[in-house]
Formats: sequence, structure tokens, C-alpha cells
Amino acid sequence: MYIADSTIDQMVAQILDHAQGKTSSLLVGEHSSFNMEELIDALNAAGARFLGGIFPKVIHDNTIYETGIVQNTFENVEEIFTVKHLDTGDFTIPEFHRETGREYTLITYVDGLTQVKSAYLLELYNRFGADVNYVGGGAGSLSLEQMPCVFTHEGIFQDAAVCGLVAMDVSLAVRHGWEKIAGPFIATRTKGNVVQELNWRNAFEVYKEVVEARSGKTFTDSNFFDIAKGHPFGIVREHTERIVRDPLAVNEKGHLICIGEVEENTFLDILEGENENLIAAARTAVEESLAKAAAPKKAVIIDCISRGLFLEEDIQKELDGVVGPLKAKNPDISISGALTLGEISSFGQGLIQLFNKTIVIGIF
Amino acid sequence: MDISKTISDILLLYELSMAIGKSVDYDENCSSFLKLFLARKGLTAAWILRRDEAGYECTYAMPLASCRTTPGNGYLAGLPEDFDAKILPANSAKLQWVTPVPYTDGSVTIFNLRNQGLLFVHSIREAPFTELELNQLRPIILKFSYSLEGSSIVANQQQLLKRLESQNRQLNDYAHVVSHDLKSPLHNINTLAGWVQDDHADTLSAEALKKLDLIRENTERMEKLISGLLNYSSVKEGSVEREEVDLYQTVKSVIGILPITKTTRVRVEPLPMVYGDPLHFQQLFQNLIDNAVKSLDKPKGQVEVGCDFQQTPAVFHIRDNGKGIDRKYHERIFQIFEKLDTEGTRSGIGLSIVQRIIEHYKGRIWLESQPGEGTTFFFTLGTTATRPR
Repeated sequence: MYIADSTIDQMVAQILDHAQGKTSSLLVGEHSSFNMEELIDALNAAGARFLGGIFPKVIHDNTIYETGIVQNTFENVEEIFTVKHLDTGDFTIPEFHRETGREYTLITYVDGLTQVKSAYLLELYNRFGADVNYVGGGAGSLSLEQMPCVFTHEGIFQDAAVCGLVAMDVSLAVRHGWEKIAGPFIATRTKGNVVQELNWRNAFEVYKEVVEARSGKTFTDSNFFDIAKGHPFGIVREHTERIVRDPLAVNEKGHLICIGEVEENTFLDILEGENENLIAAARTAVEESLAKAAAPKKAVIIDCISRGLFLEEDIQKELDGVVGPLKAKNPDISISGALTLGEISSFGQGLIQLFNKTIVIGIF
Repeated sequence: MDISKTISDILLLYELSMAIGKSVDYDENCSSFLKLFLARKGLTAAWILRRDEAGYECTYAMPLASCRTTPGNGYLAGLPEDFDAKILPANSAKLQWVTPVPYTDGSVTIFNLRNQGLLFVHSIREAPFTELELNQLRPIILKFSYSLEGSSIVANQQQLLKRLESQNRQLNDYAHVVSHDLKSPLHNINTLAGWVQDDHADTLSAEALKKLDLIRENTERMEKLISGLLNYSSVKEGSVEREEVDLYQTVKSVIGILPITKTTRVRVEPLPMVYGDPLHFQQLFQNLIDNAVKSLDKPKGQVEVGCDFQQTPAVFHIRDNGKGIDRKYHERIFQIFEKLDTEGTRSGIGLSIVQRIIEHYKGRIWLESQPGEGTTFFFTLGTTATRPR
């Protein structure tokens, strides 16, 4: 359900009415005008159970909003918890009893601008293992100014993640559609999400050579992302698509700052995308996801904001291409989602991954 | 031959290889390699079983939730020592007790980590590795097993060091408490003996008074011994006081408090400034100069304190023209309670304290001596020494 900006009392009334005692996942558009702390207090006072995040944009059916709340409700949310201090690494993931033989999905929204998301995702996997499905995304502002952006009944936090453990299966699919144009390169020196060297040379020098030659454009002091948004890195994996890393900015040392960490000695390709390929990949994702889903009731779309910036107005085509097949066979399916700062999924069973410029479809 | 596939294979092996040994910590070492191995090869879980006396013990697992201790297993015991890797269906009875969670699909590959045990990886695919891939992985797995061996050695050393530190701390605390508790009754005995002498000087026989003197002398000697022990135990590893100390001034003040006769000449040459605990340097020079003064047996005693700045590190010396020390005692004198004088006025702790202080500053002490001619103690300090201002 989509709830437009209005007074706190009115929004809380709508949330409670839609939730009907169930747990709510609340995806909030970053340009909403209401006070989040007041909303959390009012929801707590009303006895609501919820978790959520603030995202650059939110999705309901095939419409993208910059303001308001997209609410999705879940019946079997066994636990909701907050993991704080992701930036310092001083955190632990709580342990919960899970029934043997029952399917579980863990929904997580994490501060998309915190420094060490991979350590959090690894700890999450270590705690819950391969027999839980994972889906979620990075919250925060498109301005890339870090702010408190994930919330539960405990409050709203920065450098934190919120999780809901749902006793439900989910059918997941992850696709991006970006293709290799150059590589491989070795990220010979990195620090967290900053690639300092490629092939033992300054990272920007190498990247610039390839991308300028390919695109026919020239990097200036102010147009890095305008060009780079069409040429992300791809971390090579066997048996599946590359993991995309988005170079967001270049610093004064010629180091490339990415969304998401790049481990030292990772080997990377430089990728390129065509709108139609990306839109086709999104459609493939929804088809794969639908093929595995037994009785679809809800769909969650986690799409990358940077993908949205690249596709520009064609993002609507991508969304229509996803929502169309979902509604075709399941007209009553509830569709919610967000344009995020990094996408999270455990596609293919195994380690949880943080993706960039990717679309994750989860069907419950 | 597909050259781009070969390059990709080589780069993947390079990436895996570089993830090994990033940390000497066993868990961090495993985490660094296995998370990459799982991510790049699309694997679900990995765990290591190491053989011990009771059977196989799980030393690492990713995800951790699936780690558990496993009993011995007939199939594993029957594996040849020199195998490299084996792939089994995940639901194989052979894997009973060694698969942390009951996998019904896919496969488990066992890699031989030699004396570091066995590495198991689960995949949802039935054939997760080709023969070529297993061959490519052989040196990577071997490198991983060597790095685990290194981590295990470091872990054992750290455990040993921790135990030694703990024992050392307990010993120091014990010495401190015992010394402190012993001093109090001794002091009482000395005082009481003094009162008896004062109050009954007229009535007690000369022999009784002499024996009371002996009691007081012995208690004072005992007190000195205990004070020495207290000083010895207070030179602890990692003392926090660090400030710039003027050693020339330190030596001058030490000379001022020592009982030095008029026939003794003490010459102090320029000494450097150093960083450390002022009390340590006071104890160091007090013990060495006191020893030098007490060893003097000539009509004109000479003691010289100096430092040779030409050498690196600078070499300090305390030289006397006393009775000298026979070579056979040159090492023994640094042992606690070892003393050369037969008068019993010294505790035998002084040089042990000196050695402990010098060791604390990562320095070295030694001596040169000619019986009848004199002795020179030399020492260096690891702490930065600068020329006097």
C-alpha cells in the first residue's frame, strides 16, 4: 500500500488499518516531509510492529515516488532486531531459535553509506547460514550525505542495519544486464570501498584510458559520475553474472570510490550497459523468480538508484517490464520496493552479496 | 585453447592465493580465504575438521551456525594420507557425522589439508569442480594448509606467552604481598627489642644487651632483604612511567645519599638524557655505585661513572679499583640472593634488580674484572640516549 505524506495521526491510522496486527515493512521516500521520530513514537504508542528504511525513491506497483511510505505487511515475522555500530565493527548478530524444516527469509535494510557492509553481511550469513534466504537493500539519501536511515520500534539509526526474520519462503532472482568491455584488471591496492590501484597503476588513470577510448567522452573535474554511471566494474564469479561495483567518484589522489567494498587483489572487468539490455535483464529476473514461486502473494523489488540514474526515463519501462508479468498471472499481488544504495540477496544459495546497479526480485 | 579462459583461471588462482595468510590469526586466516572461495566458486558452506585424540574436531566453519564437534568417522579414518580432493554426494552415508547440517542435495568436496585436517565445502551442484579445477586448486589448498600451520603455531605461542605472563604476574603479586606482610612484624620486633634495651639498660646484663643488638641487626638485615625483594618485583614489564631523565643529575643525587668515605673519590663523566622511569635509573645507579664503593679495599678508593657515546648503543660504565671479582662469579652475581661478601650485610638482590631494569629497557650488562685491581660494569640501554644538553 502507498501512503502519501499527511499528518502523523492520519498516516499511523492508515498503517494500522492496513497492517491488521501484522508486521509492517515501511519504505519511506527521502523527500517525505513528516518527522520520522514522531512517526516512530506514534507507531510505538499505537502498538505497531515495524521495520523500515528511508530510500532515495520508493516503488508501489509500477509507480516510483520520492515522498510517502510504501507499506508491506508480513504475517510470520518471528523476530525484529537492530544491529548498530557497523562502522566500528563492534557488533554482534543475535541468535534465534528456528524450527527445523521450516523456510525462513531475512529482510534487511542497512545504512547504504556505512563503510563496512561486507563484514555485516558475512556475520549475518555466519549466524543464519545457507538455509535462510536473504533480501534487502541499502538505505540513505541520494545526496550521499550520511544520515539516520534505518528504523524499528527502537528508533532510527545511522551506521546500522535492521532485520526481520520471516518464517516464509521467498523466490529470489538477481540480474543486471551489464556486459564486459575491458579486462580483466587486478585491484592491486584497495581500502574498503576505495580502489586505489588497478594493475599496479593509479586506478583512475587505468579506468580513464579504457572508458574515454570506449565512450569518446572526456573526464573533466565535474562530470565523473555522468560518464562512470555507464561503466561500472564487474567482479568475476563462476557460474553466474558478475557482481557490479559502481564507481561513484574519484578523489584528488585518483582513487575510485565505489558503493560497496572491493577486496584487494579482486579481479575486475569494466562493464557497459545498453538500456534495452538492462530492461531485458530485469524481465529475466522476474521470469526466473515467478518460475520458482508456488503461490505469489507479494513481490518486493529492490532496484538500484544508480541503475535508475543511468536508465533515466527508461526506468519506468524497466518497472513496467517487471510489474507486467507479475500482475499478468497474479492480479492481486502486492508489489512494493525501493530504489536503493546497493542491493542485498543470497541468490543461488550461498554467501549474501551486496550488489550495485542490479535488480533483485523477491516473490513471497 | 581459450586464452581468455586461461587468463581468468590464472587470475582467480592469484586472487585465492593472495587471500591466504592475510592474518596470522587462525579464524581471520580461514575467513579471508574461505569467504572468497565460497563467493567465487558459488559454494554454500565450508568447514574444517582436524584430527585430535578423540576423533575429529571442527576448528572453523562458515557459516558458523553449522559448526559442531564431530566424533570419529570410519570413512575419514580410512582416507589415504596423500589424497588431494574427493567429491561425494551430500547425502552420502560416508559423510554421516562430518556434515554439520544434513544436506540432502548437491555435493561435498573434501580437500586434504595434510596435518591441518580436512577442508569440506558444500555445493548445490553435484559436480562443483572439474578435474582441471581440482588440479588448479591443489597448490592453493597446499598453501592454505601451510598458512593454517603457521596460524596454529602462532596461536600456541600466544597461549604460552599468555600463561607465562599470568604466572609472572601472580609471582610478582605474591612476592609483593609476602614481602609487605613480612616487613610489618619485623619492624615490630626491632622496635620492641629497642624498647627493651632502652627501658632495661640498667638491669640487663651486658651479654643480654649484646644479644638484643644482634636481634636488631638481624631484623634490620631481614628488612633490607625484603625491601630488595619489593624493589625487584616492582620492576615490571611495561611500566608506564616514561619521561626524559637526566642521568648526570640522577647519579649526582645517588652519590649524595650513599655513605661514601672521605678517602673515596667518585668521578662522574658527562652522561646522556634518556627516556624512562626516573626511579628505575636511580635504583640502577644506586646499586652499581653502592657495590663499587663497598668493594673498595685500597687506601685511596676510586669510582668512575661514565658513558662512551662513540658506540651504538652508547655504553655506560661504573669502574672501581676495589678487590675485583673472580671470573667464575661473573654470571652468578646477577642471580637473585647471590653475594660475594661474607659479612652478611648485603641482600644479594642488588645486581638482580640492576639486570632486571636493564632487560626492561632492552639493554645488556656485562663486566670486566681483575681480582685485586678492580671491576668495571658495562651496560647499554635500548631506550633512546642523547648527548647531555
